[in-house]
Amino acid sequence: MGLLAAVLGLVFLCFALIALVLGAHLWVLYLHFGAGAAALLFAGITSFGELRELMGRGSSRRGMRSGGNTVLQLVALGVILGLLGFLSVRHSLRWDWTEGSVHTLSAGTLSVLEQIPDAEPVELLVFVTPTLEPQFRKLLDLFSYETPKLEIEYVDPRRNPGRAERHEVRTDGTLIVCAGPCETASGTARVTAAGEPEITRAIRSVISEKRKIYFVTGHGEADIDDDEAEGFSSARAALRDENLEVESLLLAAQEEVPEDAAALVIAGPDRSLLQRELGALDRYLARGGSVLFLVDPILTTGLEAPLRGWGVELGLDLIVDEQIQLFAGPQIGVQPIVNSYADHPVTEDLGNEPTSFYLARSVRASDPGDEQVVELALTGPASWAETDLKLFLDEGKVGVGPDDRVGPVAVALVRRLAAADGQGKGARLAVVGDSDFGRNRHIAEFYNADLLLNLVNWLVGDEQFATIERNLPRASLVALTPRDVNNFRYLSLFAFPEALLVLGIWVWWRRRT
Amino acid sequence: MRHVGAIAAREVRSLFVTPAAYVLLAGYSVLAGYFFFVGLGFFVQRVQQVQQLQMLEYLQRMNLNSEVIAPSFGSFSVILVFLIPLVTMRTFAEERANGTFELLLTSPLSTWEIVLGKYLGVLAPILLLVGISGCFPALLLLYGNPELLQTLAGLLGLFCYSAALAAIGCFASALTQNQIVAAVVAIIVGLILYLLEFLAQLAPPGVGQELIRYLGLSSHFQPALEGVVRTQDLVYYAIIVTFLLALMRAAIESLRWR
Repeated sequence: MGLLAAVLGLVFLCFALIALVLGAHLWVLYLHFGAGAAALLFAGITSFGELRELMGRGSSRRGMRSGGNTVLQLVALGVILGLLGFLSVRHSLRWDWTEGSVHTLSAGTLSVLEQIPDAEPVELLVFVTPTLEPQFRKLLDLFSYETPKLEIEYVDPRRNPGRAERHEVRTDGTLIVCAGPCETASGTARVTAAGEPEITRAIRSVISEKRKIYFVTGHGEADIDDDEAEGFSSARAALRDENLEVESLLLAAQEEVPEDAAALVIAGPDRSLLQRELGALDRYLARGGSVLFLVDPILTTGLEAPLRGWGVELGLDLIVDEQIQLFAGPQIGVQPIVNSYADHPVTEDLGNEPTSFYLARSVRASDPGDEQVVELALTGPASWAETDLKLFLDEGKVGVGPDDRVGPVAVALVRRLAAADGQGKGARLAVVGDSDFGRNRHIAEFYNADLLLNLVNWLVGDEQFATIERNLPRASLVALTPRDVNNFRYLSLFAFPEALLVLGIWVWWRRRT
Repeated sequence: MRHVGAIAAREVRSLFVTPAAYVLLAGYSVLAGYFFFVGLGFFVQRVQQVQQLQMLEYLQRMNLNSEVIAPSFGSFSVILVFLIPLVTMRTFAEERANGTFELLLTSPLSTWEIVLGKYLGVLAPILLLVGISGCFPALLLLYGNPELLQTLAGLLGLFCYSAALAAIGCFASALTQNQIVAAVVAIIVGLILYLLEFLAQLAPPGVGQELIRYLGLSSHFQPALEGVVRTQDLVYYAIIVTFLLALMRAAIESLRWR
């Protein structure tokens, strides 16, 4: 009876421990702990007489003493090994034996991690459910292995909905990257598609000086506070997630572009800028400023002439493209989809991913030989730049005319301008023949948001923003002919087992005889 | 140390003079070969599809190690949870059932020598099992270009993992005279340790979760499969083996007291 109670007591205590680890209700824990303790107490009381008798015997006394020593030794060994294990986790060394060093952070990431100030470690709040947690942990362990200046906390949004709400987490696997503790940090960035380059970019954005982007207003431009379909509030939110400050600027009320402007964005004006505004822009560019023009077709914005002066020709046209529609097959449309990009930091991470534009005009270099101009995004060969806008607007018809440029046609370009004194920082210009791709209605389509963010990051001088790539594995393939497959199958499935069985039979026969 | 070697050699001899060991090795070879061949078949199929679609960029990222060898080693690890206890079940239990264990206990050998000798003797067939596992990637060298170092890391991981399972099996064998009971206990304990990684996902974040994850066998095996050798994993296996050897010694010592 005593033995049964003892065994049951141990079982209850084990389950109390499991309940503690699993975070079960307190009453479950107390119930198991209480039952275990009671059973052990009962076992002790009922076996007391028996124990006393055993202790009285000489050999048993020796045995108990030896047993006691062994238990003590085991406990001591367990403590030592536990400490060793703890230290081995805290100070683990690792060697990546893959040829492409795929489980090691890239050189670009390492250089960013080195820039984290000692005084203010970066905190990462990882809002992730247990299902996705291992894959995040695997990646983030690489970061924490390389630097102690990174504090990572995993938060299950289902267990901590309040905290997730406070950080406006809407997607499983959202990372909030903060310069310092997240509850008080001034600079934060958000990563929703977590990969090494994305996390590194977020870390760099929070440790670097916060830069200000101004969206020019007063000419019918898209409003960064407008949550409706035509607004730019989503773009503003995305830019803020890159640790950029975003503000509106009524340029007409200013003598000059503010000194703290890292870049200006003129997003879809539908009327002309004043001459003195253009003058302010010109002086801003002369002192090394950066401007992003998102200029829609058909409208007269008066930007054609000044942009020509800065080396960019805005086409007085509308890009018409062939679209593949489900069930309808190829159709002619005015929503060009682009998946051909120049080799440039802005488009480097886009690969062949598509971006879509809605009613776009062409852009190109004023001087075809201008090497400072990079045509970033090109429409397909079935597209053209339709110049007969009257025919399109009045009758809704299009067709390739003699004045039309046949695709590929550039819908976005960038240009560097030399400094006025030839020595200082040169200006940067980016021109896109459409503003709709960045408006709330379309920014979430395809890779539109990525293109807009990359353009702004390039303008503010973040040269390396798109050049951080994770290490890739070395390609290793196998070339098997049907004969090789047979050989391989024979060797794998037959030859080894057969040889081993024959050996076994031989051994058995030899022993038998 | 001489005594340890003698016991280990005797253990190896006694294992390989019975056809059972060869049947176990052949069985493992068939199962492992099947999993490896199926994985390879899927890979070859995918390469052909990618080539037909001319997705050259994707083709350049296809890797035999991450898509064939590592998943196969992962499958091998599951087989070994069941197979290694069949190798280790007889270590002490058979001697106790046959009544030859008393001879060992009354010999001038120390308990540590007996435990170490028995354990090292069991490691020989374990090495063979790992060797058989390594034959498949070696065959692949004839037809493709897998990464050698990553494969070696996987084999090292497989060996350490098997050594830990062998220690569990030997300890289970030291507790009972019944070989079947020893094998079943070792399989259950091995499975629990294997599944702890998944159990950790259910636990609330904190020290408890970290502890469960640390104790899990698979969380220390996975990095090696991917080509990453970490001191914390090597230390983990050393801790498991050392502690189980100490428990084995205690279990045998307790036989002396009775």
